[in-house]
Amino acid sequence: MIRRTANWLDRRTGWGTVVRAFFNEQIPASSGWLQAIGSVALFLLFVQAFTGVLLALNFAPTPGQAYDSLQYILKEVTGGRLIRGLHHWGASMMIIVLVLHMTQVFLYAAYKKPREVTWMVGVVLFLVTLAFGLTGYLLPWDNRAFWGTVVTTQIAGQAPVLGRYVQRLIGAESTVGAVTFARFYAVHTLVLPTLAFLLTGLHVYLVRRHGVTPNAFDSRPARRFFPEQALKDVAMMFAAFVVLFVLAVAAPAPLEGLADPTDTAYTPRPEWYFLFLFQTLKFFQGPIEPIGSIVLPTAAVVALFAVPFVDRTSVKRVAERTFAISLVLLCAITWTSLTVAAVLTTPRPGLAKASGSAGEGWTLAAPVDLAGLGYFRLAQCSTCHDIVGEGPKPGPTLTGLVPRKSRDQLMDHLTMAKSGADGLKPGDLDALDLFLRRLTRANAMAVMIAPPDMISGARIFVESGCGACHSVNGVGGSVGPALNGVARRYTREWIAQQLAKPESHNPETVMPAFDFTDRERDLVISYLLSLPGK
Amino acid sequence: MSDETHEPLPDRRRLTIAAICGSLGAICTGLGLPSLVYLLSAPKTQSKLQWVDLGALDGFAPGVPQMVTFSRTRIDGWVVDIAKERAWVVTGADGKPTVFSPRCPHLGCAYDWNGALRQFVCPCHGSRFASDGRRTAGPANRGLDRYEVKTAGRRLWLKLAARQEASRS
Repeated sequence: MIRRTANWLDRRTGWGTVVRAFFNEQIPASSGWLQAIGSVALFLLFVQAFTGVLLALNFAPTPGQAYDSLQYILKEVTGGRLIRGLHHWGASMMIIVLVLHMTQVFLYAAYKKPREVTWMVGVVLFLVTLAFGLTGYLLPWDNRAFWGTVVTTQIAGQAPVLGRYVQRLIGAESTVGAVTFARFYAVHTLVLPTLAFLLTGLHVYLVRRHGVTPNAFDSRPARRFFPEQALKDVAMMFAAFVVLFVLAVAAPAPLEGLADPTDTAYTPRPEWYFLFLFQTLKFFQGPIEPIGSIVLPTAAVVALFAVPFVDRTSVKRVAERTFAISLVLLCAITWTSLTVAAVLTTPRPGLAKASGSAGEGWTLAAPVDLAGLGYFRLAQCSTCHDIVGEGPKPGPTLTGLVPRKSRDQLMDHLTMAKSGADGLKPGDLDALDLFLRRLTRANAMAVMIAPPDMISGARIFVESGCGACHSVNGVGGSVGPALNGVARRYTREWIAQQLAKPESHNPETVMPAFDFTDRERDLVISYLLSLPGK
Repeated sequence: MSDETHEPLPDRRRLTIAAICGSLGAICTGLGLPSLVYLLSAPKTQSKLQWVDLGALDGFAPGVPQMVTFSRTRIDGWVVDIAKERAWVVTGADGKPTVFSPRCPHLGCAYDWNGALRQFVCPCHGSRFASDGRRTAGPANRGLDRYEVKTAGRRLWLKLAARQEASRS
């Protein structure tokens, strides 16, 4: 039955010939595991396309909703975290595999006549992959995405003459916003996939046309692709898939808080494979900056394209290609040191942990901690004190200091006229005392970046006694419902109504009405809506 | 096909092909099963039921079906907003209100009350329902869907899930 159907189809389409030609391709006897790396890249392209389509089915491509829909994928859709993990880590893996593939082709001089065009198409495919990474970086629309893209679009603007037009083209002339997002999304999901598949088709066609590059010093006769080499290809794909799957399950793809263009404390860092460029930029400051941001990267791309035309030497054994090997080693060492330097200079004690996948650190703090920070800022403590030793200030570093002082000593200091805290009420001083005692390096970094409005909201929350009935981040009473994730369940208007007239939603409620000013109500609701959901 | 001698032995060849098929099968399963779950599973949190205020009980005269429009919180995927919704309220002679979902149970069209026929009539495929929701004619396979209701403080309340379009009785 199957055979009859296959025959029927073959007589009408001739597909059997195609399949046989594919399986029986004659390949040099020297082919082995190294020649299978390219197949892994092809496999990863399919994985990325497949998981990308799945993500797009639950993704709202506008700045306002992208983050919400991604949260929906992560928290509401079963398997959503896995699919995003596969797509995220698949992108990184693709870069690694492509670099390995290019290195192998380079070392074995497989770009030489007549395979120059195959090499150049491959270089374009590599650039397309980098463009995938760059555009995909913005799509989660978290702080990391937003600020990272601000920097890249500014760099694009530095291109001589063309800079302005490039920025206009990517919709980032004045700011990274709705237009930028639409452009990046369209490029990421329409333009680049089309390019990637067309060019991959061309690349594979050229590989087939010229055949796998033989080892000129191996005189064994050619053999068929199937099944020995096919198994090597598939085994490599399988290994790659297992690693990818384990990564996707074990390491959550990063997601920070919603993009906040007013966040002045954020230090953007690009994706790991762009860190070396970021670090290079530091060597070129002032008027020569475009050398690092535009000229050098362009030169590197041109050099890659030129490889087959520069190297016209006769074929040698790999081990004798000392210059090529030294070049690869030099690139590897340079890349590694630049990347390590970039990682080392990234300020991330505590902050990085706190702003992991669960949201920004401060949103996880107890309301009383945030409120205490409010008094800390109100009293302008940081005029004289640094918190974690970030800079020389007249007063001592606060982290770890306060727990060593008695409460009386602290109150004596705080009520002194010169401390700046003398205007605070006794209750406020208690909150400040509590805050200073709980200050550690980790939570200080996390809490310090909280926006002022959120701190004011937390202060109103604490002063109004909301915590007596409701818990936030696991701290507080259990009479009323826990407030984490109210943003998922209610709107701003609904909460405003609940605060002003709780009985209008439920006649039997025990919640008292709160007589806030408009400003106070806005602040406390903004704070509640900022809480991470469950 | 000149180099038959370089082909692996039949047993080894069969084993190799089995390994290829096995690996590809494992990859397809590893990708395919999670994808099916991803596409077909319901959202994890089932939203809590909410009581929605429909208005003062005195506003609903006995006997005459009345359409009410109300606002309620609706969760639509990742969008949480206040959505307008409608319902039909029919108060019996005993003063007990019944609230019907505004969708025809056949294929979801919005039906209307026909005063002359004294029946609910669906414009799409002609299903008809009596004022107590009973099906009287047409392709619908059951009567009108009802909401769970309660009266409190002389007001009429209706129970809805935030993800739900209309509740089935």
